[in-house]
Amino acid sequence: MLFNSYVFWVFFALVFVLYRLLPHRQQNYMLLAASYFFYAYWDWRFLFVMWYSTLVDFYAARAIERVGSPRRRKTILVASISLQLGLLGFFKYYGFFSEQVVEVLARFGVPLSVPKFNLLLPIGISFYIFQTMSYTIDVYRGQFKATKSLADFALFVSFFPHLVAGPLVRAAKLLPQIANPRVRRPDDFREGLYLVLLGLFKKVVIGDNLAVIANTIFSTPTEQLSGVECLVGIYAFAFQIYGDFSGYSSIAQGVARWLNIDLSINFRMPYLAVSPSDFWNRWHISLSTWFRDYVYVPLARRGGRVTKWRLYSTQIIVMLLSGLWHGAAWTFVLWGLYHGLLLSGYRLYTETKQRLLKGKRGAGANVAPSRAGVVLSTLVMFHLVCFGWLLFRADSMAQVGQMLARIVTDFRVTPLAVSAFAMVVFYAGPLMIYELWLDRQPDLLQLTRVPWLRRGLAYVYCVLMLWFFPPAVSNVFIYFQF
Amino acid sequence: MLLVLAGSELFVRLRESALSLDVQHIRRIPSIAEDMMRGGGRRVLFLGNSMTRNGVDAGIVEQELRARGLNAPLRIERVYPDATGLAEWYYAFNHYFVAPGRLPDVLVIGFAANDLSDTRPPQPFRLAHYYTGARDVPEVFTHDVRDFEGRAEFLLSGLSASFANRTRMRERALDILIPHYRESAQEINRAQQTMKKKGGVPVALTYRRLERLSQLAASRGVHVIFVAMPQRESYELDPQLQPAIERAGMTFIDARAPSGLVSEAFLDEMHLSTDGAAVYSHHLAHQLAPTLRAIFAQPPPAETARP
Repeated sequence: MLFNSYVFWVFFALVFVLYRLLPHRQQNYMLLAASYFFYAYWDWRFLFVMWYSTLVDFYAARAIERVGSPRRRKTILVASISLQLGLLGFFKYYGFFSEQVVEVLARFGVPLSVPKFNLLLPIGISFYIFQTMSYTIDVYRGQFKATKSLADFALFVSFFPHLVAGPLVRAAKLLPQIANPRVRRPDDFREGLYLVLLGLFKKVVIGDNLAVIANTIFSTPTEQLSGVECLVGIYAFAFQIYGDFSGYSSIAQGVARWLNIDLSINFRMPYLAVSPSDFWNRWHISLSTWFRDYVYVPLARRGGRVTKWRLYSTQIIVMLLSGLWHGAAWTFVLWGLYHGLLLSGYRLYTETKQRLLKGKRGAGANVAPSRAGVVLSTLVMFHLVCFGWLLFRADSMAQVGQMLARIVTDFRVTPLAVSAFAMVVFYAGPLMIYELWLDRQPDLLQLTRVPWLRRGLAYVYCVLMLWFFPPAVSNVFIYFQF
Repeated sequence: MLLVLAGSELFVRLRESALSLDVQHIRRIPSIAEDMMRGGGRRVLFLGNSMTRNGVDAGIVEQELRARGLNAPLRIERVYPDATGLAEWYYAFNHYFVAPGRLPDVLVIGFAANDLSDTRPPQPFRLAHYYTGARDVPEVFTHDVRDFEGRAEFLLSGLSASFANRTRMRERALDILIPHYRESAQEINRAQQTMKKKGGVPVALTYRRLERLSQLAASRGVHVIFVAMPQRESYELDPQLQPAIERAGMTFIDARAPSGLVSEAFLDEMHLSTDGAAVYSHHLAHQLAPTLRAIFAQPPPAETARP
């Protein structure tokens, strides 16, 4: 049941009406049933996987809170994390890693036969497992009290707006909103409408329309493409994945807002980033902060002493894991490694630069970048991110190499390149102009606070684009596969 | 927002025919059907898509049939809405021609590749807006548009002309705004077709829609001839197709490779040039003549005998 399908909106209309009619506890039961229905609509068998994950962390967290001994608390935590990661590993990584092991051993003349399972990856498994794990870790750290209500916890795990593609929401943010009666705020409808409309625009108008171009270019044998066509294909994919994923997050936030629930922000104009660290503060924020809080900080602080080189290596390890989180393929691993190197390299560069500047001008000599400098940094960063998207989207490493070779050697401007580039500008250009404006505003919901005529014009533009520029083919959200 | 949508709806309803030549043609179908009523003689209706529009020259076909001894008065008409397949043809025939006095004696359907199999999905927005009425909804939902999304699109398109025509408007706008749009759209289409072929799992083709058309035509005393039309690159036909057509009491003509039709006779992958159409129309008439002669040897069913 996709957010951009009619069936979802019929489903949501029914949920919304019931929600308005019921008191708080019944609202929660109804939302839980609706969330399970929403998930089972893809494949009811996946429900068992989600129930497993729910029960493991519900009881693990309660046990951690009950048990006094730090050693036993740690054992329970490790057991629950192992069970969750074991489940994730089995569904998502077993095939990939077993293939690699068999291949490596075969090279050394050791034949190995491993059982093959034709496993369907339960949709959204990486999202809800990370969410439940963060809850148990927070309880273990004493940052959050374990809930006593299994129904509340089950709804925290399965709440349908963000169930299959995030944003990842921490227990401290979502569970209290579930456990306590929700208040209908005057801005909920207006802000929800803005988020839903913006999300649909990003997904349908930008993501799906540019998917056609990106898919065409990435599926054409590279020797039949010019370098400029390859480059435009990567641009198209950059905006496709942004439209697709941030569109989903935005609709999720908007729909939740209509149910008087706040979800975390997941994107903040990522293509206006001026540096790698800035990019990761703007892209998939809920996952970046998850890795920061549950992997990066503990790894960097292990053993008590934090060295510069440990920070660099930890950053690379974390990004490698983040790449692997996205999928079991070498291209994803390389994408993670690439971003890890970018982040560490940038850190090294800024630290060295600051040291040199301090030496020259004395302490506190920070120079604000010029407007031209910001524009240049943004363009450079966008292209660095695009290189990452090439790794992410390519079917193989051979394709990555071939496309790069084309880009630097073949500068033919073909009709397809011109036309595809014009379509990227036509679909994504207005959003980028809007984001340039939004980036200077104090609030991501600023459009809901401008005079109604300006707001109305923006909404009319979105609705007309949705109405008259549907994609030739409707696509599933890319991040569902993670 | 509602005002803007209402305004665009009004605009599309008033100016729909200006959207494309195809819409103008579709809007002329009722008058084509009425033309068939006028005058006596045997009626032959060519039904297809843009391949029929570009490939079948009714004048040449008629001339060639007469040259081959078919001297009965003939009335030949063509209906060829763009990008249509069997589902659209079925409902177009049912909607515009299954009425007293409008029925042809022979229906000639031009197709290519798997156009006649059930795998080709119908386009709900076109079915709703151009080829069906309220009485067809149960049949459409039972046989052709069976998923929720398709049904919703069908109902919305039945209510709103701007919704039903949105892809036409998109194409029109992109054609104006995007440089080289037509060329690149063709390249993108080719790539999408290749992707589909690569990703597709071979399935046994079924012909339930074709059976329904044969039943509808037979119940109205109309003989149906299916003609496999030529394309620039030769294509295979499902071996089950011809038996399925013949089992249903209809005629199959293989006109995929007329002699003298060279690659240059095509404007693109599937559309014939004027010269190509002349070659093909001669060839088609030659192949049609024996079947038409046999059909016309029978007395025409009285209009009153046709249900």
